[in-house]
Amino acid sequence: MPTFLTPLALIAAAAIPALAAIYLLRSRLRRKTVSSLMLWQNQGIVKKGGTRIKKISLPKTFYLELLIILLLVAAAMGPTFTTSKSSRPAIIILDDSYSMRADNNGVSPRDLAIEMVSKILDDKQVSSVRLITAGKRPYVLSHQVKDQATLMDALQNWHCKSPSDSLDAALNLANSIGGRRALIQVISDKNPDTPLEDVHIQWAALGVKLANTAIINASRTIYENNDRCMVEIVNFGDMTRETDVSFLFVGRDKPFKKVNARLEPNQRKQIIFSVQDNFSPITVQINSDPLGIDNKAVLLSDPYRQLPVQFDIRSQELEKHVREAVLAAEGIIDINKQPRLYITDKVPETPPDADQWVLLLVEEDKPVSYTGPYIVDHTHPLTQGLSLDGIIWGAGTGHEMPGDPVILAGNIPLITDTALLNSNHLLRLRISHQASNLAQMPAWPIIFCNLTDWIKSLMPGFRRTNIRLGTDPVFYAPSGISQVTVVKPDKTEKQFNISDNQVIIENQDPGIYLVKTKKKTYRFASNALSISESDLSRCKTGRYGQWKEADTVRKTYFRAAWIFILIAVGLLIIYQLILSRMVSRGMA
Amino acid sequence: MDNFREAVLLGEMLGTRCKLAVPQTPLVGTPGGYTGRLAGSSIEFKDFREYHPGDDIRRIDWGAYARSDRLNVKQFHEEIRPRLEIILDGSLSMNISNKAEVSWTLVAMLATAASKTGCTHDIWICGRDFASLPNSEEPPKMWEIPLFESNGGFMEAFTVRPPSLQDQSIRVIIGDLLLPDDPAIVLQTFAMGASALYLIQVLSAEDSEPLEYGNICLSDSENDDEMDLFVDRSAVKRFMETLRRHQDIWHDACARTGARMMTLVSEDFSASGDLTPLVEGGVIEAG
Repeated sequence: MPTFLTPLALIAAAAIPALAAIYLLRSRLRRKTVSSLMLWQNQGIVKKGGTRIKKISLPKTFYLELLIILLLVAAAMGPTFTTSKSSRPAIIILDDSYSMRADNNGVSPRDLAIEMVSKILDDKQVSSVRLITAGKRPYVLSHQVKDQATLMDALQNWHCKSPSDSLDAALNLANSIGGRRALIQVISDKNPDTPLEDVHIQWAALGVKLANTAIINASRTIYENNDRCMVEIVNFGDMTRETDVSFLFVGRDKPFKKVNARLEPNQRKQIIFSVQDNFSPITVQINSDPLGIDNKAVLLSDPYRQLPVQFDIRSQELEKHVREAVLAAEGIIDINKQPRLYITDKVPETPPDADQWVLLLVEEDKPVSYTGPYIVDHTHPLTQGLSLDGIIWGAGTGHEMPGDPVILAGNIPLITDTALLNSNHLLRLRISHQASNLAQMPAWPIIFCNLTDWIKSLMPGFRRTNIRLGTDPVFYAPSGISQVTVVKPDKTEKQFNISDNQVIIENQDPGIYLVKTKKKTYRFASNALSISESDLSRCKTGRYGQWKEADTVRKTYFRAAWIFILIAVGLLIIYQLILSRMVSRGMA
Repeated sequence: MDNFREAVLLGEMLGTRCKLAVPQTPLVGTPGGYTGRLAGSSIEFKDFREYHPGDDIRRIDWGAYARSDRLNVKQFHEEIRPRLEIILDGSLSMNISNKAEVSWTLVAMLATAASKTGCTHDIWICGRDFASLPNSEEPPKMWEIPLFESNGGFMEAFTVRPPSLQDQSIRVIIGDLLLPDDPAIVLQTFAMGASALYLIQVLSAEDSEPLEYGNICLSDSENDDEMDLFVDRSAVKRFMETLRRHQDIWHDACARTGARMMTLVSEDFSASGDLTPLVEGGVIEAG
């Protein structure tokens, strides 16, 4: 329906009854006396007298004039058509956390969300939608989508496997993309934390409070000569529930251990046991419930890491202190060639090997004892948990200490760090054991323990093999490797280039990941262990916020007065033609 | 009435410019300057016949009596004065436009022309009956001109009181001829005993071609009949075709009775005073 900018112009429509009156008066039968009616008797359209109320015979010009007046009046009223075709685009934020997969009688919030998004596009509430998934991090799933087919294609990549949502970050991203007036629809299974104040945001909570039992912790560590596993399950329901916890080796159907757990509401239960087979992956499984992703965990054995160390120290007393401190750490092998860590007090004549770390002990001839204050770089791996209180550090200024200072006594560097190729480091430790009590203090073995842990953490492979879903592990590649192949749990493969001897593996699906190099295959297990996502008792159903209609529809106004005038002019020309013909025929 | 008076004066003036065209066939009339069809008292010998008692003995051909012993009387053509009788349609339809004025002009013109020619004249007004115009023998300006108030035709008036038409008179009927009467009967009636019969149809411009278009309630001038009509070009065309057929009927009737008919459009005549149609029709002669 058109709107009229100047409805008062409707007053001009008074010309219509005036015109009608003129024509009616013109059309009234004029009385005329003739000599005789006998010559008129054979007229075919005779109308007998006395029937005055009859169909008015109006000429064509009347209808033309009427139409012209109507068009001009309409044009004067400023008809404006509003089109809502170009409604505004919307950004739809989809909760990508795995609680959206909770099954409620065959329907999950994800299913409802897909239906809702489709309906938003179908109902022409918005011209197009842009999808953002709010998983661990917000991610733009699609650019502007205007048709259902493209929408469905895009939604195929919405998996809901993230261990957490990032709805706030996604809202920020949506505001950044769409601007301040962007229409945003959030679809989650939870309600907003705070009342929505922005009129451009709608929030749909499609979740349902369900009783869910989940594995919330699962670990496998080396304990003495065996592996020890720990599994923690919790009942998030309102009622007591029993579930079977089955342990089985991957690839085998029969569990090697089965525990029946009776859980009170919100009760947690830990199951700890040892496994003699230190290599086979173990699957832990509980009974099925609304959320399946947290009913299963895979535990891999932690690879035993050994660090070859070579000691080449001239001072026997210093060597003794160093050797004792190093060997106190776990997995240290004392070897004489091709060490991973080379500890010496001799300045190397050749650069270290590609896979070699060097700890250079710098002993001063004229030692000076420092009691502090010490300046410690606490961000450095060597200083983790290190305290230098009460330390008398015997050092001096006789030798240069290039590299980044890690610990200083005033302006005297005591430990420096120089990065080498392949993530190796050359560490310099200025020490004079006769003038210090460092070797007798707890800080001494801590420094070496930090050193060996640091080196071991950068050894090829993963630092941890059993990680939570969403935690992206770093793969440390062996030297000389430029590319690895990652096999995901769904068996899809992807090539990754190695940069700076490491690569971060994206961990989006639970299961076992394989990282293949030319010589060796590394692996890690990803498990959905998120309390916040497994706890379905917090799920809500509801709608929060409402787009203003004025915001949903970007109205386009189309002024149509010129069309009316154009038609009126056309009719006026036709009118003139008819009139001229009538004049030429003597009928006017 | 002033209009009629002016019209009559105009006719009188026009009549002074022309003469009545007396037909060449023998006429009957009062004694006068024209040789009549009947035997009369003129000096022009016509025939002999046997004497009958009562005949003028001065006409006895005594020479023939001497030769044949039979009384024969000489017959001579009578000398007559031709008579013009004007029959004027006095119906209400003549009041349309200036038909009445033009008709009175024609009447006065003919009467004057007749007088100038040496003819006597009489004027009959066809109203409910035929009434002679008072003082019609007097000059037109002396006439007592009546109003046209009749709503009947010639034959209806005839049945009420026919005019006393003189035998062998020249008769001129003036009217719009838009009558329901049968033209043949009308003309036979008036042609009986007439030496000549002329019909002068006086139509208004609207009678000959309607100029007014649109929704019109047509009202008959002589009765209460009305007709609502959307007059457009085609209606006018049909009207004119009807008028032409009507005139053709009158022309046919004229042809059968020896009458002559001419048509004048009153507005044109009053504007121009052109007597050519009457001259061509043989009613009058220039001079």
